[in-house]
This record gives sequence, C-alpha cells and structure tokens, in this order.
Amino acid sequence: MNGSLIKFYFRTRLPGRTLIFSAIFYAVLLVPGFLYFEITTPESQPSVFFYEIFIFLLISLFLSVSTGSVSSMKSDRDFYFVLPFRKGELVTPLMLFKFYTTGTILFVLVFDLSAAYHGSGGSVLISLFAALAISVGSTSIGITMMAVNPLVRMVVSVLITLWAAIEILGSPYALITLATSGFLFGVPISAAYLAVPLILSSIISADLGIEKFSVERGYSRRETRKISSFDRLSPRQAILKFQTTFVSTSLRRRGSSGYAPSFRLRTRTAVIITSAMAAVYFYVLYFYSAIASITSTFVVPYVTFYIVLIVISSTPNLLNGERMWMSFASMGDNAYFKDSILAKCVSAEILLAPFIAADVALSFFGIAYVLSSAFVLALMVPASMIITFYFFSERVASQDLQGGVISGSSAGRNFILLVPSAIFFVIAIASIFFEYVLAVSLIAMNLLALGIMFRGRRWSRITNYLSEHGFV
Amino acid sequence: MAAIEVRGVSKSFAGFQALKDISFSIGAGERVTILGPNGAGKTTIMKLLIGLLTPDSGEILIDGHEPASIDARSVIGYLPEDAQPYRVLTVRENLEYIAALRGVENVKDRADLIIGYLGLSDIARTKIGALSRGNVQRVSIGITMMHSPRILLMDEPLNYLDIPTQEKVIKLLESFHATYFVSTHILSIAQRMTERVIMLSKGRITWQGTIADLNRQSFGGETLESTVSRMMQDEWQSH
Repeated sequence: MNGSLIKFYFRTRLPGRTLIFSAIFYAVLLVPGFLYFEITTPESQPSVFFYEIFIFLLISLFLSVSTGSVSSMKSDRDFYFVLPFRKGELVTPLMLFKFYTTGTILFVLVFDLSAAYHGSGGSVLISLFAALAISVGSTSIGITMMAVNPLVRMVVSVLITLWAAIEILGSPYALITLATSGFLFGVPISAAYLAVPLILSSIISADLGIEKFSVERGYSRRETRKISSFDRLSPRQAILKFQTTFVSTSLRRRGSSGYAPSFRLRTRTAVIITSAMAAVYFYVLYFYSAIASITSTFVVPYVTFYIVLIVISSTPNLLNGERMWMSFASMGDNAYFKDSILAKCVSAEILLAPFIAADVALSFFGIAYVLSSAFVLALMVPASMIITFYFFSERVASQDLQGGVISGSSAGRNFILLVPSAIFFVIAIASIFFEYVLAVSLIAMNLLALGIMFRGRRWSRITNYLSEHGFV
Repeated sequence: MAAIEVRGVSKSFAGFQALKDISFSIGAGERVTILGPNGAGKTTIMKLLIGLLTPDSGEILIDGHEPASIDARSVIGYLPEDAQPYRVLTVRENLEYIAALRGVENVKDRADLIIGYLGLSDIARTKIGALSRGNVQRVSIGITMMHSPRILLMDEPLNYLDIPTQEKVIKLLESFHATYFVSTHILSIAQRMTERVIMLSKGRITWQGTIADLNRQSFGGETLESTVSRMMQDEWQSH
C-alpha cells in the first residue's frame, strides 16, 4: 500500500467545502429517519416500506457510485498512469476514497442502530458489509468498465444487472427479515452482498486493461449500423424520431467532450426488455402484496420509487449526449430545448409504458394501491423531467466540466443536484402518512411543468450559460 | 449590404474582458481570416456571430439580421473547433438529422451530394464513435454545409485533416462561393483559404488588411510568420 499516493489522492480529491456540504446533506437525511424510529413503539418492527427504502438506497448508491467511478477513473487515468505506480497501487486509494465518501453508510448505520435499539438486532453487521460491498464493488465496476476486452465488459454488465434485478425484483423484505433474525442468517446474507463485488474484483485481476485502453482502442474500428432516415421530417418530427428511436447508455466518459454513449439500442428492443421487467414486477407484486402490509392508496410501490428516482437523478444529464453547436446553430435554441425535452419525455414514457400497464392490470386484481404507481409513472415522470431539467441543467453543465459530482473532484455546491431526488424522497415518504400529499404533488408538478413549457423565461439563459462556460 | 457587420462590440466573462470595442465588416462573397494567438478572443467572436453569446455592448448584423434570429441562422454554417457530431448516429444519420432540423428539402439527396463531395461513401453507415478524428472533422464540415449556407463561420477547419483531404476540403469550399470567416492561428491556412486578414490580440483588433498588405509589412528576408509574430509582440509591448 502506497501511503503517499493515498494521502495525495485524498488531498487532491476532497476539498474542505465538499466535506461540509456532505455533512449537512446527510444530517438532513438522518433526521427524518431517526425521528421515524423514535416515534414508533419499541415493540414495532420497521415497516416493510422502510426496509425497501433501505435496500433501495444501497442499490442506487451502488449503481450511482459505480458510474461515478467510471468517470473519475477516466479522468484520473492520464494523470496517474504517467507516474511510476503499479495498477494495484492505484486501486487502493481509489477504493479507500470511495469507502470514505460513501456518506450514506452513516445514514444506513443510524437507521440500523436505531432499529437494533428497538429490537431488530443484526442489521448493523449487514450495513457494514453492504458499505464495504459498495466501496469494493463500485471501484471494481469503475475499473472493469474500462477493460479492453468487450466480453469482460459485457460479463460485468450482466452481473451487475442480475444482482440489481435480484435485489429489486426479488424479495428484499424476505432477505432483510432473514438477515436481521440473527447471525445464523445474517452473516451468509451479508457475505452475499460481497460476492458480486468480489467476483468483479477477480475480473479486474484477469483483465484490467486501463493502460491498454488509451493506447489500443483505435479509432479505425468501423461499425456498420442499420441506419434511420430523417428524410421529409419537420424539425420537431426529426427530434422526436431521434429521441424515440434510440436509447443509449452514457457510462463511458470521453475527456472534456462529455459522456460518450458506449452503445445504442433501438427503442423497440428496449421496450421488449422493459416489458420483460414489467412482467417480473407484475408477478412479484401479485404475490408480494399478500405479505406486504401496505394498504394506503397513495403509497408509491418501491419499484416505482426506484424508477422515478433514477429518472429524476439522471434528468439534468440529458444535455450530456447533445451536440448543442449543431442544434443551436440549426434552429431557435428555445424551440430546440423544448422540443428535445418533450421528445425525451415521450421516449421515457414509451419505455415505462409496460410498467404502467402492469400497474393497471394489478389494480384489476384488487391490488388497488399500485394504481398510484401508474399515475406517478404517467404524470410525475414527465413533469419532474421538465422541472428538473429547467432548473438544474445549468449546474450539471458546470459540474460536467469539473469532472462529475460523484468523482469527488467537484465543488460542494454541486450537492444541490441532489435536491430534486430529495424532494421526491420527501413526497414519497410523506404520502405514507398523508395520502393526499401524492395527489397534490402530482397536480402541482404538472401545473408547474406546463407553466415552464409555455411561459418559461430561463431557456435563453440556459443557452447563454452553456455557451459562456464552454459547453457549446 | 455587408454579410457580417460588427460595430463596437465588447464582451467580458466574470470580470475578464474578452473583446474590447471590436468593429469590422465583411462583404458578401469575401473570404476573411481572423488570426490571433490562443486566448485572443477568436472563438468568442465566432460564438457572438452565431448568436450563442450576446455582446455586452455594440451591434452585430448577419445579412442585416440579429445573429440569434432564425433568418440569420438559416444563412450561416458554423463549424466549431473540435466539432463532435452525435456519436450514436452514423455519418448519414448525422447529416440527415441536422438537415431536417434546418428544414432542408430533399434531405436524402442533399446528404448523397455531400457524402459524394467529401468522399464519405465508404463510412456513410459507420457510427461517428468508430471514426478517426480526421474523418469526424470531414463529417463535421459536411454537416456545416448541408443547407448550402451563404456565410460560413469556421473555427480551425483543417484541424486533424491529412494533406490530401485538406486540399479536397479547400477545393470544395472554393466551389461554394460563400462568404468565409475562418478563425485560425495557423498563417498558412489564412493564406490558402482567404484574401483578407483581421489580426486579433488580447481582445483587440490590432491590424487588418489583405494578404498582400501583410506581405508588405515584412522587412528584408523576413518570413510572413516572423512578420506576424513581430506585429503581435509589438502590440503586446505597446499595451
């Protein structure tokens, strides 16, 4: 372990203000959780919903930190690889750093300590294991995603997807109940949290390939694609076709030019995938609702909660794949922004349509509370996309130029990007206790989104900001 | 009416004065280079002309219109430095998509024409992400020309191109009979592509004239590069 490298890494990647902001952010998160456990009676177990949120947080944190790792390692690569370090030595400070900056561990720990105090012993252990899993796993994914061998990247992607799918679509309630029942079940389940990350770590040893990546990934490789035509389309139709024909991932970061999509997928192929996921969702919820104690009409099912949060947290990044120099120079920038965001909303709704259908179908089988999920997916997703993009895209552009928020290289003020997710989190939690919160939020958000689309005055400001900060 | 008219334009960013009282005029069909060292303000002028930035003071007219207006944008082709088309789209998709955004009729025919001109046929169905930087630059030039612009604003247009492709692009540009405004810090490009030079240094226009005028500024056996370098240094010292 190279002490000076670790010290150097921490000093360069962790400005003091980031620490202060993260402390404030997590303190704000901790308070409602702590209060919840304090107001429940000592005999009562934390509700199913809170267990689900717990799992959700772990998974989302894992995935977001993983993608953050990719970008941070990409940006670090050019700097560190000219230094006389072995690649293994580079991994250590990165992993320690991820562990250190995974502040949500605190959140989870306080939840668990409080739960343990009220009789749910054993969950502290699982938190510690999960924290370690997040740290090891995210670093592993970050490095492995840069492997030269596309097969390695594919295997890693499949493993991550499988793991996430089991966690999300399986029964986290059953897992947690078993894990918290005692050490007999707690230890193996906690160890399972480590299994996937450890497998990923092994893959790193097998084929790291970071050095090779920058040198060997040539630009001459030609890929022949089935192409789409934009002939005889109006500007609006062209934007709609572009946004609804392809779904692309943005895991790979390419220098200062933003995220480079690693692959594109036809939307109709993506819809087949989401339909399969919705079928699993339908199956799980159909049986799961028998053991879940949720009766409230406006409780958001946790899968929906997870989906919406992904959409909200990724919405400000909608600019990443865009080429504003082409688009702004071609048509009015206001019109381009509005048409693009509308097209992206349509694209999101196409992908989510199978889940909406599953919710409606479940409501016919008497599981009434999931109808709220259909409303959330159909109405809250597009409204929140418009609102989030309108108010936060400037900050993301600025953050993107700095190297990403989760990489640790950004200023503390970028934590403001977590505000939309936090607002949704509050709405979802509040809807458990006060049913009307969700309905009121849906109406308010849609009115605000409509206002933005018809009378928003900040569109030009966004264009100007992006140009002045070198984004265009 | 001038194709590009810039009158007393100033622009600053967070206290830094990028351009100070810039004025120049470019007639229709004229080919002009803006020459200056890194950080002189060349790209800022480009962004002002295309309407991506608004000046703090002064006035800019493109073919008699405000730069951000649809009228102005419809006659301008803009090629930024290090242009990156959509990486998930193929070469042909990029050309057609941008042509559709611009409201070009017969998008397919126009794309065929540009693909033929720039020799992109063998990579027309290839994703941008899989192309070399030189090929990406060729595609970007093609995108800039898809709507037959009357005014071309190009920031370092020959970057990354090999010599045969540079020649091909120069010939193609010459055949377009458009007004050029080329930003570069490479003198040979100015000589090859344009007939007039505007020299910019630290946000001010320090000299403007024809290439022939520039030649007359040299002393003895001084090369044109040395002359320009001397002129810029003289300007720095006088400030």
